[in-house]
Amino acid sequence: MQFFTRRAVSFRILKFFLALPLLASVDAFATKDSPRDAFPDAAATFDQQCAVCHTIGGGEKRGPDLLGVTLRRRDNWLMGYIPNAPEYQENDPLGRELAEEYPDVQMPSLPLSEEETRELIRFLDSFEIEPPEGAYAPPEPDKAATPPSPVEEAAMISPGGLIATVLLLGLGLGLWKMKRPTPAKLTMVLVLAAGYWSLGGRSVHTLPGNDRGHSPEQPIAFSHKVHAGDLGMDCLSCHAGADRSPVAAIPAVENCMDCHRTIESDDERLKDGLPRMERAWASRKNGEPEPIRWARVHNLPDHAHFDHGVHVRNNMSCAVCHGPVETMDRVRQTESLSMGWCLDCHRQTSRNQTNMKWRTVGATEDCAACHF
Amino acid sequence: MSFLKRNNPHELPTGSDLSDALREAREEDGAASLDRRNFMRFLSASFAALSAGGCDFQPPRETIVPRLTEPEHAATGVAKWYASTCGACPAACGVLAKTREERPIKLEGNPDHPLSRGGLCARGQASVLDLYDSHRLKGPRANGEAVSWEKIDAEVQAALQRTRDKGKQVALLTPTLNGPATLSAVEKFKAAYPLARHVMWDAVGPTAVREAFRKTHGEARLPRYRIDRASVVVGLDADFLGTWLSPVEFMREWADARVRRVDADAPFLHLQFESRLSVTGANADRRFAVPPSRMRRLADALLHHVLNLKGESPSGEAAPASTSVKTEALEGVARRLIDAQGTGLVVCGSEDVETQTIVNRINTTLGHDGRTVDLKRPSYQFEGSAGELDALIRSMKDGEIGALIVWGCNPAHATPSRDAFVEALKNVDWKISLTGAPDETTVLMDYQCPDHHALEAWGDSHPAAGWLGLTQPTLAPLHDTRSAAESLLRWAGEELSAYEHLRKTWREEVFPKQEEHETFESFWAAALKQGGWALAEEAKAAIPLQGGMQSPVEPENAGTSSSGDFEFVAYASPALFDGRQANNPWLQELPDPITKATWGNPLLVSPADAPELGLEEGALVRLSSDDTEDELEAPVLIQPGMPRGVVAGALGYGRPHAGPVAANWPEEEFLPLARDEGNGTDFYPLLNTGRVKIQPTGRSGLIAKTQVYDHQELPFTGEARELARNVEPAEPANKGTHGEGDGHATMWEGHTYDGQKWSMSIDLDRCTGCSACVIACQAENNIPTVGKLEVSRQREMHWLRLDRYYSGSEAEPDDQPEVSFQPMLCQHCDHAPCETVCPVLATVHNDEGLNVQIYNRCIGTRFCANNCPYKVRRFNWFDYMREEPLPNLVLNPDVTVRSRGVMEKCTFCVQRINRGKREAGAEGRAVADGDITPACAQSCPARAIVFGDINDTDSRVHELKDDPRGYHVLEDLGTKPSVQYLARVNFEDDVTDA
Repeated sequence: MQFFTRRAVSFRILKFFLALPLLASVDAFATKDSPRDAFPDAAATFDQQCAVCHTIGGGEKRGPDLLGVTLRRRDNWLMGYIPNAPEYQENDPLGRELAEEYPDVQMPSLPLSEEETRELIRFLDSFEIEPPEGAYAPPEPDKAATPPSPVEEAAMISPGGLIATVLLLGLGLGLWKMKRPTPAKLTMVLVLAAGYWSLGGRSVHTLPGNDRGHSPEQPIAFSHKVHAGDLGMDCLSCHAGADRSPVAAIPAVENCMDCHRTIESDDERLKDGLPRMERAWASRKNGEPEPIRWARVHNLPDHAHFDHGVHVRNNMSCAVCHGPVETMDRVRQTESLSMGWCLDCHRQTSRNQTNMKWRTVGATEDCAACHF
Repeated sequence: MSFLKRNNPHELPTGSDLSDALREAREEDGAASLDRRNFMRFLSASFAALSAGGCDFQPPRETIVPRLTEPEHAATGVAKWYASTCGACPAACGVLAKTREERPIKLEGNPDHPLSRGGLCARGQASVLDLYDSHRLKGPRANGEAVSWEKIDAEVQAALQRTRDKGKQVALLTPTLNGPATLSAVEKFKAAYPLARHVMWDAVGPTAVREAFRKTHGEARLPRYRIDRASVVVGLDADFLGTWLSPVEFMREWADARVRRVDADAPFLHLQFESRLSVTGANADRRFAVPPSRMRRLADALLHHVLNLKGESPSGEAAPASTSVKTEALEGVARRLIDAQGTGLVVCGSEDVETQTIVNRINTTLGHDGRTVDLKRPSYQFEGSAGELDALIRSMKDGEIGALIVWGCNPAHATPSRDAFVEALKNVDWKISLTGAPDETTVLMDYQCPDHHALEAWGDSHPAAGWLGLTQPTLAPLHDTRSAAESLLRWAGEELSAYEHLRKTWREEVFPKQEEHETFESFWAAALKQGGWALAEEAKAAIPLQGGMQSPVEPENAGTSSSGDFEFVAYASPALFDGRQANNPWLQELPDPITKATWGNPLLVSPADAPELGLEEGALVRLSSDDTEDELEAPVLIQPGMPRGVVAGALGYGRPHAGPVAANWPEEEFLPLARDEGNGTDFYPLLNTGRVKIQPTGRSGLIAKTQVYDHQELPFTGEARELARNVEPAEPANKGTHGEGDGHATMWEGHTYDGQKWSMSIDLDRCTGCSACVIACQAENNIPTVGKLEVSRQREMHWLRLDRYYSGSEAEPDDQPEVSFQPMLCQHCDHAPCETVCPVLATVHNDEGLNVQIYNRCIGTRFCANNCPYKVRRFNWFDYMREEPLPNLVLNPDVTVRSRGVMEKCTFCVQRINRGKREAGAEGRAVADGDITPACAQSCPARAIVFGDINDTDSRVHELKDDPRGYHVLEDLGTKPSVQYLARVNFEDDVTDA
C-alpha cells in the first residue's frame, strides 16, 4: 500500500494550495442558535429520559455517546427504535448488536409521541460534530445546503491565486528582461488566466468533474422539501432499490400515482406537475408511452461504480452524500462526488482502523471496489 | 452491425476543428505524416477548439427515464434470471438468461438441465448477440413491401386456401422440431390443410444415424450415446466434443470419465479415427488420420476384427485390410472393445449410411445396445432427413407443391442441392418464410413472416427422452415479429397466441403425466422456474438388429465427384456450425480451436501435400469439382494432422445474404479489404463431394490467425518450455517445480493476504479447447470485436485465449501431432511484472491478490503488456465504436466500456466478486465457496475451471492447491501466479501391443 501513502502526501500538498482560496469564503462571524435553544422541548426530554445513560459528545456512559447518531443510523430506524427499544433489541439485527455491546443495561421503551420522537432526533441531529482523532467528519450540511451564489462567490478573491499570479507576473517580467520574448508571452497568458481565475472566474467556470451545485431544472417541479421534509417520507419509500441494489433508482410513475390518485389536486403547487404525471400514467396503455424524463443530478463517470445498497445497508445516511435533500425544493448536488471526496471518508473509516464502532464493516480502499 | 470503425477519420472526433485540421494537413501533403508546420496548425486548432467550447466544464446532460409501471420483483440495477432453452441449435441445452432492466445480456448454462448440466457452448452463449442484430427482419413483408400482420395473414390464408382448392400440396420445411406444443401447432396446421406435408431437414447433423438404424434395426431412431457409461470410446469422424449431436452433454461426460481415470483408476480410453484434425481427435488418447473415402472400409475391417476375435465370423475369413491403419492397430482397437465387455462405444459422424450400418453392427455385436447406445430412451435432437429434402425438391419441380413454407432453415444455401431447390422454387405458386433472420432462402420468398428470436418467444423442446424443455421470453419482442407457431395456428384458423397454445398443450399432454403437482398452475410455475420438466417417460421397445453381417458392396465411400487429386472434407466448425449465426461478430472473431483462424475458413492442407503443390500458408487456391460449376477460391492453411491427400474446409462462411458481418464489413468505408479476401468461402456445394482439383492461383489471401507459433519449444534454440504440461500417469506431475521461482531476487516486498485471496485452478485434463470460455468472457466483460485486419495484426481483444500447441515424434512431427490446449488469461501474479513498470500506477495489486487495472488512470504506455510474460494484456488501439444503438443493448452495465488508449485484461470477473460479496453481506454471512464464479468457469461444459478463495480451507481451489498435477506456467520467472494449472495426464496406449 506504499503507493497510497505517496499519493496522500501529494494530495495534502495539493490540497493546501486548493484550500487557500477557500479561506476567503469562511464566514468567521457566523453565529448559530445552539441546539438547546433551537429545540428546548427535545432538550428537556433528553435531560429527563436519556441523560441517565447517554451523553452528546461527552463520551460513553452506560449507553453509547449519541453525538452523530443521526449520521450512523437512518432516521426511520431511530423513529422505530427510540419508542420500542426492547423489541428492537430482540428482533432487529442492529438492535441485537447493541444489546450485545451493552449487555448490562437495557434501554427501556420511551413514552414519546411520534412528533416528540421526531423532535428529539432533530435535536440530536443539530449538534455540530467535532470529529475525534481518526474519525470520519461528515460534511457540514448547512454550508453545503447553501453554496454561495455566483455573485457572492465572484466577490471572493482567492489570496493563494493572487499570490501565484503575482509570482507568475514576476517570472514573466524577468523573462522579458532576459530578452526571451516567447516564453515571456506564454507566461503572460498564464498570468491573465491565473488572475481571472483567482478574481472570481472560478465561480463561472468549474473544473471538470466537480459538479457541486449542479441543480438542473426538472420536467416536473417535484419538491423533495415537501415530500421528504414536510411530509417526512422516508427516502426508501420512493427510492426503493437503494438498500438492495447498486442504484437507488427513480421511482416509477406508478409509485407517485399510488398517492396522487387519491389526494386532493386543487393545491396550487400541483397545477403544472400533476397533469403531466397523469398524462404519463395514462400513456402506459396507449402504446405511445410518454415517460417523464428527469434531468440527472448526481452523475458519476462511467468508470466508477458506486453501490448504494452496500452504503445504505451499513447505516450510512443518505445525507452524507446527497446533503439535506429534505430542505430542497429542487435537488442540488451538494458534494463534489470526486474520488478524493469518496476517499476522504473511506480512509477515515477504513476497515484497517479498529476504533470505528459505527460501521459493521470497514470501508475499502481497494481500487477494484469501484473501478472495474 | 458496425462494432468497429477503423478508418482514419474516425481516429479523431469527426466534425471538430481538430480532425478537420488534421485531414486538411494530410490532403495538402498527400501523406499522413505531419511536418512541423502542420503540427503547429494542428495544435493551434486544438486550442481553438478548446476555447470555442469555453473552459466551462458543464456536467453532462443526462436524463433518467423511470418506468411507468413497476414490474413485479423489479429492482433497477439487479439482474433477473430466466430459465429457458438455447435456440442456437437443436441440441437444446438449458440456459439461464441474465437480464438487466428487462433486456437479456448474457446466457449461462442451467445447472438443473439433465443434458447440458450447467455448460453452454460458444454458439449458445453468442446467440444473445443475434437477438440484437440490427439486420434481423423487423416485421412482415409481402413482395418486398412492409405490411401489417392482418394483411399478410389474409393474403397467406387466401393463398393456402387456393392451393388447397386446386388440390396442390402445402409443404412446411423446418429443421428438427420436437416440442409437444410446437409439433401440435404443426399438426393443427396440417389438419387445416389436408394435403400439407411437413419435412424436417437439418443442414448439418447426424442424419445418417437414424437412416442406418432404420436399415439395421427396422426403425429410424437416434440413440442417446452414453459416454458416462463407457470405458472405451471409439470415434469414427464423430466430432462429439466439437459440433456433433450434443457436444455440451458429451464434453461433461467425457471430462468426468477422464478425471475418474486419474483419480479413481477407472478405465477410460478414447480412440479416434478421423479425416481431419477435430477438437475431438485432438483430445483423444490415440488418433488415426484416415481419408474419408476409407472410413467405410475401416469400419468394415474393425467389424471383422471384432467378429474374428469373438470367434463369430460368419465365413471365418480374415478381416479385410484397412488401407490407412495398420492391421495390428485395428486388431488392438477391436480387442480393447471386446475387453470392455459391453461398456465400449463406437460413434460415427459419417454421413454415409453404409458406414453407419456397419458401426451399428459393431455396437450390437459387442452388446452396447441398451447400455452405451441407449435406444430405449433415445435422443430427439436431430430428426431431419436429407433424403426428404431431396424428395421435396423433386415434388416442387414436378409442380405438386402449391405453397412452400420455410421456417428456420436455409435450403437455398446450406445444401449441395441448393441450385435444384432454387430452380424448383419457380414451380411453387406461393412462397412463404417464417424465418426471423435474413438468409438466402428468405430473400427468395414472397411473404416474409419473421419469427421471434428464441429469447423473445414461448416454445418447447424434447431433446431426449426424459426431459421436456421450455423456452420463455426474456424481453418483449424488439421488432414487429410473431412466433412462427402462432403464425401457423393463425393460418389454421386457431386464434391462440403461442403462449396460450403452449399452456394448453402442456395442460393436456404433460401435466397429466406427472404426479408432483396437483394444480396445473403450480406445475407450470415449477416447470418455468427450472426451464422444463423431467418426465418419467416409458421406455421405448428395444429394437434388435435385423439382417446379417454382410460386407458392404462398395468398400469405398467415393462421394459424388470422382475426378481430382484430393479428397475434400466439409465440416461444421465449433464457431459457425452450419452458418446460421454467420452474422454474429463474436463467433466470426472466435478463433477456430484447431486452426486459430478467425473471420474466414481457410482450406486445410496436410503438411505433406503443401510442399508438393508448392503452396505456402496464405496461398490462394482454386477448387473445382464435378459437383459445381462455381470455382471456389480459398487461402491455404497448412494443418498438421490432416491425412495426406485430403483437404478440408469449414462450412457456414461466405454467406451472401446473412448480413454485413457475415460478409466481413462489406461497407466500403469500413473495409480496406477486397471483398473476396474478407468474405470466407462457401463450401456447401462441396458438402457431399468426394474429390476436388486444386490449382494454385499465384495470389495470396489473408488468414487472420490469433496464434502464429504452434510449438512449445523456443524458436531457434529449440529449448523446451512446458507451458501446457503433459504427464504420464505414474509421474509426480509437478516435478517439484512448485517453488522454483522462490530463489529469485524480487523488487517486491511481498504481499500478505489476511482475508480472501482469489485463485483459479484450470484442469488441462478436462479442457477440450472448445472455446466456450472465450465467448463467455467476451459477453461478460464487454470485449469488442476488432475485425479481420486487426486480428491479423495480433490486436484481438480477447481477455481469455485458448492456446493450442503441437508436439509429436521426431519422425513424423506433423502427421500425428499431439495437441495440447491451454486457456491463457491474466495470471494475477503476486509478483506481477506489469505492476513494476507502470509509470502511473494504473495497474496495482489489491488486498485479495487481484492484479487490478484502473482504466481511468491508464495513459496507454503499454509497458505492462511488454513486460507481461504471459502476453495476456490487450490494448485498445481504437475506440471500437458501437455506433448502432441496438447491439449496445448486450453490454453488461456492470463493466466499464473501455476507450481508446487504455490497457485492459482479465479481472477475474471482479464485478462478479463484488456482487458475490455484496449478496453475502446482505444476508449477513461470509462469502462461501461457490458464491463467486467467473464467467469462464461458469460456462465451461467440461468443468475445467475452479475458482475460489485459496485462504478458505474448505474451498475446492484450496483443496486443489496441493494436487500432484498442479504447476504454474513459467514458474521459474518468480512471478507467483494465482492461476494454477493441473497437468494433462497422457495415458499412452499404442493399441497395437494387445
